[in-house]
Amino acid sequence: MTSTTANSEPTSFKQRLFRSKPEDILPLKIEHQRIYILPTRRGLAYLFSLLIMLIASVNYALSLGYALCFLLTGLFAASLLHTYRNVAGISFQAISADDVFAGENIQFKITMANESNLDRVGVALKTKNTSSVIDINTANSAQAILNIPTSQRGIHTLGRVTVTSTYPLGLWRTWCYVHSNAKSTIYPTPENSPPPLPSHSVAEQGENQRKANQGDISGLREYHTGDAISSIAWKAAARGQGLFVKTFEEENAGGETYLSLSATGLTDTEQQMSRMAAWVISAERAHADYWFELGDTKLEPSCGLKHKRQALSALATHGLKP
Amino acid sequence: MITLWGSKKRNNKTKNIPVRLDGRSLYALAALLFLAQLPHISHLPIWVSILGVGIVLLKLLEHHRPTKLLTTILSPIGMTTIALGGALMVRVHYGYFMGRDPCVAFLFILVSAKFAEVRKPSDSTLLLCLAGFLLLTQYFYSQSIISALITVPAVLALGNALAVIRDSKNAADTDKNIKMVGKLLLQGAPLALLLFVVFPRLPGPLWSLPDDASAKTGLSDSMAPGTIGNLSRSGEVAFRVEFDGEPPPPEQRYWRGPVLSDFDGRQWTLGQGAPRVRPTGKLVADTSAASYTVMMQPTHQNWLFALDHASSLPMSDTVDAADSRVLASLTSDLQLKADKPITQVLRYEQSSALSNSYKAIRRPSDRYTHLAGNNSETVKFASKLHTQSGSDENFADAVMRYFNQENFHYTLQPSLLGDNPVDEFLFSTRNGFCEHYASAFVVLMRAAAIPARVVTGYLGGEMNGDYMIVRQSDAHAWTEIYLNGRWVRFDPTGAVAPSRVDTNMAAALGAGEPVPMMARTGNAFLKRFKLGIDELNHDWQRMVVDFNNESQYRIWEKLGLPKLQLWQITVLVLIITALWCLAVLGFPALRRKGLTAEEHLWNRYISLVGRYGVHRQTTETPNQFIERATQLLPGHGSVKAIGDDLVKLRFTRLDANNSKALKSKIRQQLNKLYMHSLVNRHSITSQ
Repeated sequence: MTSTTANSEPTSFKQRLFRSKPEDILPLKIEHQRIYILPTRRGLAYLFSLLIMLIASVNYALSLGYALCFLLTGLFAASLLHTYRNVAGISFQAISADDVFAGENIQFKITMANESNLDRVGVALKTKNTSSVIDINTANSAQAILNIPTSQRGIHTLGRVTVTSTYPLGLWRTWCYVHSNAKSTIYPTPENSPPPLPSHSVAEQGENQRKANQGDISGLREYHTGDAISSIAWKAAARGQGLFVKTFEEENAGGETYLSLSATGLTDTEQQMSRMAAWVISAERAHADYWFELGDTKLEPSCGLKHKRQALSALATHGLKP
Repeated sequence: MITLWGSKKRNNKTKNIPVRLDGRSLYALAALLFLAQLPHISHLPIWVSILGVGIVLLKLLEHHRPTKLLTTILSPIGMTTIALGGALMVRVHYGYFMGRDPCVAFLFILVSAKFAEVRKPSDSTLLLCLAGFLLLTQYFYSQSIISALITVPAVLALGNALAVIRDSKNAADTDKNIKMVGKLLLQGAPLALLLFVVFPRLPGPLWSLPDDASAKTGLSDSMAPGTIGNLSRSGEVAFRVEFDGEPPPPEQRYWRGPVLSDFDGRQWTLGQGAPRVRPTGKLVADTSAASYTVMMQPTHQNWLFALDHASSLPMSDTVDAADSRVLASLTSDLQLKADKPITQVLRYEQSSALSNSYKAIRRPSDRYTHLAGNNSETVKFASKLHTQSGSDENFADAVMRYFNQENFHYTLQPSLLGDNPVDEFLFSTRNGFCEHYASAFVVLMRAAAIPARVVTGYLGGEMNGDYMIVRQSDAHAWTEIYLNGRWVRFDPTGAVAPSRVDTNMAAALGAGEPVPMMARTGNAFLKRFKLGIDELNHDWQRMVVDFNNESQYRIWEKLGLPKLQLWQITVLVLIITALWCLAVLGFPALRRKGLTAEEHLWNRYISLVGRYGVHRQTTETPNQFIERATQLLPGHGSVKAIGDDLVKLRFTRLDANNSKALKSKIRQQLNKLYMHSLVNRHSITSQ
């Protein structure tokens, strides 16, 4: 969110009109400043027939014709206010989406609250290619879900959402734009049946090393309960420096997976990304720690949700223009 | 889904699947159609009604039990055929097409055809517009209270149909919809009323369709035996009158209409038009004057009616005398004739001198003594009686006595007359209605070379509250003869049935005559009830149906305003509309004051700091927000100061005076900060 900076740009006229930049800060209450309203096609047809009716009333001096005409005008005007009021005052509480693999649908969950004492009926949320209609009861909140299909890895920003409604009579269409920078990361589609994890080749290298420098002490680290007594560096303990454990080369290399572009043995970037994504998933499934290297991203061997997300996010954006 | 803009796309997808309007939309539209068509059934040819309503019913049947035959009939092609065929049949039935009535009949069929043809909700826009217009066209035929009341459910149905087809899958229940539309209508009503009152009424038609001549009603320009008798069977109102002062006694309620001077032996006609004259004292002695306002029902003929004898020209009823227009001219035989047929309710001011004779401008021409046809016995009888009487006056009196003393009957059901109607009437059948007596009297006078003519009009009028109703059943014919330079009224019917003159027709007729119920004497419950309804109708007519420029001026006058110009009205409407919007929205500005003063100040503070680019996050406590704002806006000491004051106001106990002082201090500081933000708008934003 950009709100923490004091020198954020003022809302320019253009931005106020079209909300073309993602500058909206949640929670956001839809106030009259951003609400537009125009007659629908049916509304225009209705207006046109009112005009015809008025002309007929004038021509034949039909007092009741005038009355009917003006009654329907009143209906038209009152429905304007109701259409407007159906959207005004809704507040956007949160927009969130989970990350997905390319090919899946992103589900943007939009939480909206209605603090007024009016039910909001048939409020549609729309983006370029999806829409969703919800009702929000009085003093309640509701969640709209926008399903956005994906095909390519990358980062998808929700973009401008149009909040629109024609309730109650469909004669007016009111709309406003909400543009927050809610994002979802699209991971590459994992390869279907990937080759086994590239641990084998890395392990071979390690074995060769071990053969040459068997028993080489690579360093010391602090003692944790459970460490083998034989591995304690007693010399250091004797010097009064505290308990340390000797670490050996083999501990780093043994049975670990090293994921990198070169390991894939592929040349096409998208195929590389797919294979690496598949490896990340199978490594995670096996609860195996793995190295991960991709461009500037170098991850120490680990495993778990955070690690997985870092790795997959790196795969999602690798080589793409930000 | 919002269906309005995306309908085209969906068309392509569902091209090959037969689309049907769902039941909800279908019934909502059918209800609207039914209510819009209902008021027309009374005036349309029966086959049009059956065709129109039948199509709607067939469509509903097809919805429940679709058969191949029905689906074919109700297909777009079938309906186009029916619409075109309907147009042709309407043309044949009426003999023309470009007129009001055939167009309404065609619209009636077209609406049904369109209904049968609608396939999806978005198609129904045109249908809604047509139905709305059909609703309006009922006022061509009736603008009664009933017509107005019938419109209310139709408008509710229109709103319901709009609400349902907006989103038929998720539409609320019908009763909820109706309630909602009712609410919208009530909220729109003040605006509607305002527009009704202030919208300028343009005088006269913008155009008239060539064949708009409707059936003429009331007295016509000719009279044969039976003409007036037929008219008398109608209880319809001819006109209503409001008198300034007391109404004249019954025997002076002669409302003059067409004066008939040409006779072909059977039928009386206008003959060549009499020249126009100016109403002056010379014509009419100012014996006893009456001035009154007439509200005349449209007759589609040119005559206006005035009590004998008109002493002024009929003027349009206006507040400002300068705006008043002359509505008709006066002819030398004292007929009031408008230039154009009276097609709308007409309200005019008139004054009359109540007398039974007036001074003729010039000697009557030969036309007034011309006799046609073979009524030789009558002529013989007249010359004999004239010789016996000695003078014209005595002769006329003798004829009156003759009618009175011989065995003449006043009846609505006279015997049929043959080739010599006057002879047969005078000497054999001897029963007849006023036109028989008037006709015979004039023929007798002319046979004695006394200029004479038939005057048709109305005799009578019944007071109902403060106004008088004159009905078609009061239609009457009397005579005028030329005596000593004056035209003198003789009413031979009065000689036969005196109560016709001083009471009414029903009193003069025997029992068993087909007198219209409203023309009967007595105070039967039903009649009193109907008179009550008439009074209601009269007020409705005056206040709603006849509402025009004049009524508008009268309202301004009552409010003590001058005549409003168009721009003034526009400004007035705009101001009231703005207030109305606020009222319907529930005065949001006032409601904001429902917050406590502290909350209000805190909200102002947040939005003001927001102007400097620091927005409060939901998770922040007030203190955290103030701190962050202070850090991010180092140049503004007051941000911290106001924030601390607000916290103090909110979270410490203060007595009333201190709290008030603190609030006003905060308010001042906020105002200062606001001014600063306005003045330095540019530098804030370009930091």
